[in-house]
Amino acid sequence: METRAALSALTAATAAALDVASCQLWNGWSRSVYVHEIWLHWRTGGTTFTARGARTTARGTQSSTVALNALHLFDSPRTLVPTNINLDLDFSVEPTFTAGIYLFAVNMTAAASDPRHIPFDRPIEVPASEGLALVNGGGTIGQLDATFIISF
Amino acid sequence: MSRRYSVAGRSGATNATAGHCAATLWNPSAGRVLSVHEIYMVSAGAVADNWALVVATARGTAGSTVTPTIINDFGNASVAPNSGAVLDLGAYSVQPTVGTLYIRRGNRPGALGVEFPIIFTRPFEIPPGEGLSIVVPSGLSVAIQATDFTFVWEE
Repeated sequence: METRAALSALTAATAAALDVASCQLWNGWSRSVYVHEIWLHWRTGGTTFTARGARTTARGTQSSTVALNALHLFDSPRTLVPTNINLDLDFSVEPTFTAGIYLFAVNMTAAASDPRHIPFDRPIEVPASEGLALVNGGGTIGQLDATFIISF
Repeated sequence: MSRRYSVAGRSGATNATAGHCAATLWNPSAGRVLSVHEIYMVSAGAVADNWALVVATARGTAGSTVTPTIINDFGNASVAPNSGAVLDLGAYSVQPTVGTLYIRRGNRPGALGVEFPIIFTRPFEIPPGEGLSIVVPSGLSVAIQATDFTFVWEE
């Protein structure tokens, strides 16, 4: 049976530019990871924000990251098998993705705390050595509470 | 067959300190696992705040505790939770032991009655001797305001 887990973090504020990454689920494991849901809370407020989902093929350089840990697992007993699955944040070198090709997009109102739930009825498969990033789709500064629900 | 329960209670405001806990569903049993299906948080104050959901590995000392009874059983042939599960509520005098490996996090506007549901499409399991807590996230110094919490689980 699959193992389910959640990775959650506060992103850094992105630059006010299109197609800069806010966060990225990076799969450095040897097998595919599946994304079932993404939860977002718009933090900045005062302006609208668009987040777009993009497949990434190179990790870029993140200033901080949350590494998958046994305490992220849904199932008891918590036996962690995968390694090198990370939620990357705050990039000095952007991950590689194809601008203009997105899997999904959501808009947030100018109200702080505006939440978005992005469920995937069939999970998005992220192959080994690839990622799934949320990138800035509106050109405004943006900071998010972001959660990825995954399985492997 | 597993039985479903829910329990609700209102927390007091936490301190404005990272890691301080507003509520925990604690599993004191020696061998039973709690499968958490849903958590509901409704603000009982009008102050913006932030929250994170995280595993607790030691209980701490809660400000108050709600102990579910047979009344909390969803079924007709009511049975009190065999696990002895309890809802601990802030403000804590001794914080539960939590890290910063969050399962979910978010923030709320400064308005009374803001509801945020956490629905697990696959239940999150709490092993014996552990809990699931709502805490002030790391790096932030904003108190979690008084909140009505509801935890729904099966065991």
